Amino acid sequence: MKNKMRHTTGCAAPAEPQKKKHRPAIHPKLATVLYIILFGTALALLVMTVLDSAGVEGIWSGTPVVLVLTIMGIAVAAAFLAYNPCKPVYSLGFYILHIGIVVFLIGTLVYHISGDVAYVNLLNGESVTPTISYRLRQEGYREEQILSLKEGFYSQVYSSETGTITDLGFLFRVADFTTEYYPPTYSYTAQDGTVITVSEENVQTDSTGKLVCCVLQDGVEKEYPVTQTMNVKHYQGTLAFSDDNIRVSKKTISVNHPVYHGDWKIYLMDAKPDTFYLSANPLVLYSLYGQTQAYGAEVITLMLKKDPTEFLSVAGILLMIIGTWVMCFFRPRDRKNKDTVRQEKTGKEARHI
Amino acid sequence: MSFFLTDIGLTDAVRNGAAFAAAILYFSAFAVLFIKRKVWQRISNVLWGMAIALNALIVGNNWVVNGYVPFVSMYQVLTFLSLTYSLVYIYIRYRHNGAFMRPYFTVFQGLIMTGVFFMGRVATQWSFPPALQSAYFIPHVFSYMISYTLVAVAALLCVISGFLPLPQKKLYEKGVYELVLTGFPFMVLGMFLGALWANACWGNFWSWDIKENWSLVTVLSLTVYLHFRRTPHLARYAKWFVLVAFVFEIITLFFVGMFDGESVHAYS
Repeated sequence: MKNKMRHTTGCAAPAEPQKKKHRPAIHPKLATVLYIILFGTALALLVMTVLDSAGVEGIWSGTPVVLVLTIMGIAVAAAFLAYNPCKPVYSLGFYILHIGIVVFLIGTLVYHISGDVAYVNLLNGESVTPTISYRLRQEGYREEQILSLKEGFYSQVYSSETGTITDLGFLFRVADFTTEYYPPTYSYTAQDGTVITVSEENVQTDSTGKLVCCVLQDGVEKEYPVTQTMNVKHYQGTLAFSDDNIRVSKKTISVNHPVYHGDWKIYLMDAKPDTFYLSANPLVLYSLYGQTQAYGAEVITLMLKKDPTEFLSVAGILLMIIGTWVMCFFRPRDRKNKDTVRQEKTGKEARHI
Repeated sequence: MSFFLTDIGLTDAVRNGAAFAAAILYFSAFAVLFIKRKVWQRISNVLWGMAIALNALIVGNNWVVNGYVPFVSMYQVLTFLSLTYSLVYIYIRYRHNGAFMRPYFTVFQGLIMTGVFFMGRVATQWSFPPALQSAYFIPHVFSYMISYTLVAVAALLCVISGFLPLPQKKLYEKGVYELVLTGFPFMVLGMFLGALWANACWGNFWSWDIKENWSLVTVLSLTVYLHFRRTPHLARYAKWFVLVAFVFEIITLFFVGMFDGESVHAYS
């Protein structure tokens, strides 16, 4: 394809040396087709975005997205093969960027086919540890989806793709989980519905132990109930892994700092107080739904991800960033741009840019 | 003293007054630029400089109050964005001979500072959530700010170029191209830094979140512009995509919160 393009387009005609003709790097007809495909991709994604914004469910989980992105990937690959510039040194950015798009799309496509994701709820605290629980990727909890296995059982993950439970190949539990908070903030809701922040000195405790603040309104002192807000500053925990149930290795996990173990990458997603119930299932210790004895505990939500081609996706992203920057900032026009504006103001023909 | 300062920063009266004065000064600097005498150009410089100083005062105050870069609320983001226009203009002025674009940069600064009056202008200490405590945060937001600045001015130049005679029209169309060519890499950088950050924080490069999708179609519109203008058959449609990108940019920035469904970008 590349040779054919070279043959059909050819470089500037030598017969007219005084009027240098600009040769397009891609055959204009092929370029038109490829750019219309690009426009089609953008339009398709726009339609999906508008539908999603209008509240239509499940737009992004189906095959249309994969199809649109695959078509775009093929068009980019075709452009890459057909591209034939006169001065390849200025086309470095083009090659880096377009190969980056293809590499990224391959990486994410492989993940889409063979990757796996699971959410795991773990408890921290003596009364209910050690437990390991997991739930399905889908929304809505059901009892059988949320299991807390007894100690000694290998951690298992429910694969949402195949519908089977697979062994992680290692046991792990959370230990030493700490949550650090910002200083509390206090606010009350005024009569007109606006929320007003008050400083700590103005907050008092009334006879029933509730937080209140007194506000002078029209000469009368009024008492408002105060809400205390505690925002999380930092979560941190230690994950204890055991591959053979004897030796234990520990790794620190926090938000934005995932942990690798085996083929899995583990993310700390959230930690908040929740209620657990004693389960009737002999394998299962605790469940988020049930009728028997309830335990209050801090539930730590972890996400486990298996992405065999993560390195491809990351490499693709880096190539796309570098390629775009090289393409947009290192251009041949940069050397001959000095007085173009003045020339254009005087009515001379604009240079090709 | 208490009229000007509280224990954490400027009082509301001073901040609001500064924002109002900055808006007026930006608009005055814009209006004066149309008088083609040298002395008025200098007056415009002075007005513009004063507006920037007031704008920087507000941004500096927000920065001190937060103890971190002031990107908490739409109010803080907009005051910062208005200041970004000055920096971007200086680059465009000297790198791309963009002196003729100055009124359009200035008018956007005035419009943004006016927009600030319709926001909740609260300056409180920020409870910085764990997900945002990342090295990606500042470059992600700042790249987007730079690109949004450039695309907004490019869209305005696009509209104006439609009403101009030929030599000037070419100058403006070239200006649009230069602005998009500078803004596009920043938009791509912002988007992909966001993707890398999301992979470290949420475990996905892309969540098909509502804000992500609108920013993706913005990037794609500019991509279509950059491609179409290279082809003779499609070049005449190209500049419409800059306007479309500007519309998508506005939706991404302001209106995503109004749509159905939760956004993972709903922090402020």
